[in-house]
Amino acid sequence: MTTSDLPAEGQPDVSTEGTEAPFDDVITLSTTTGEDGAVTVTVVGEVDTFTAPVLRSTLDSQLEQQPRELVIDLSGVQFLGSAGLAVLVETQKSARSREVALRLIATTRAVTRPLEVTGLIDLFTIADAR
Amino acid sequence: MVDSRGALAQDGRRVERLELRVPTTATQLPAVRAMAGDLAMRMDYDLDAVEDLRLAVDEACAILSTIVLGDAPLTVVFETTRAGLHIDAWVPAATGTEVPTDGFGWVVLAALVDTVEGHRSTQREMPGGEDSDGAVAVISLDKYLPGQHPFGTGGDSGQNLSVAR
Repeated sequence: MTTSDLPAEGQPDVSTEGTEAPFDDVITLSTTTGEDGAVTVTVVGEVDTFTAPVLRSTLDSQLEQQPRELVIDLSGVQFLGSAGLAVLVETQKSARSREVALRLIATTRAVTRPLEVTGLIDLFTIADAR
Repeated sequence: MVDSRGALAQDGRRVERLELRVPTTATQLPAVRAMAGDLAMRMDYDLDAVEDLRLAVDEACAILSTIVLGDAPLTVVFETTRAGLHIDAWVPAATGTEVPTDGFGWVVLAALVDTVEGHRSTQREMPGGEDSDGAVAVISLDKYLPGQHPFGTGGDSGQNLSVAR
């Protein structure tokens, strides 16, 4: 999967700062606003204990704008650990309290499996396509 | 070295062992879970179980990262048998430090594998450890291949243990 077509919009990447090893960024986030006012945050990469805080702050700042709907596109996510699950649950709570509709796009086993095993999948509106 | 292998590895069958030692950094833990997934993929695990192992190893590493002493490395020992995969992950920790089992990560970890246990030990008792009494914190886990569970429950450990609140 390529990330070159995703506008970065100044979102921080969690990368290898401080190390010399030439690793790719572990996570890339981009945000787009549709004509209908729905905001889509597209996540590409791996969501673990190191990258979850970056995702959290991006989602929080989008929710603060109180869009009509927030869509989290996880179809480019190759790993979603408990820290990432916790971010999704917190975001769901926060969206509810702000009366923002929340929808996840989950197409890969790397995302659906952890949601299923924990039973958290029932808390979310899940779409399997854009 | 004391044999600290779990029950799964002590069934008398040939054991293959793979040991990884990495710093607990943002770029190295992805390598450990990738190795877990690759190993599982080459055994007879189904795709859900491969995902479970990738997740479980990451949770174990993440939990141990919170109690590691200074910048000491994390050691992960994978033992494969015909029955499945036994994994010991350990870090040097301050004397008396318990593996924290009260977090969300532990709940997720327990839902992903057949057995999981956190305990204290010493370097000398660990595969890949030094010959010293240095305190270590260990997470040991087992995931059996389909039909290999010793108690015959055969239960897929990942059977939607709900942690939703």
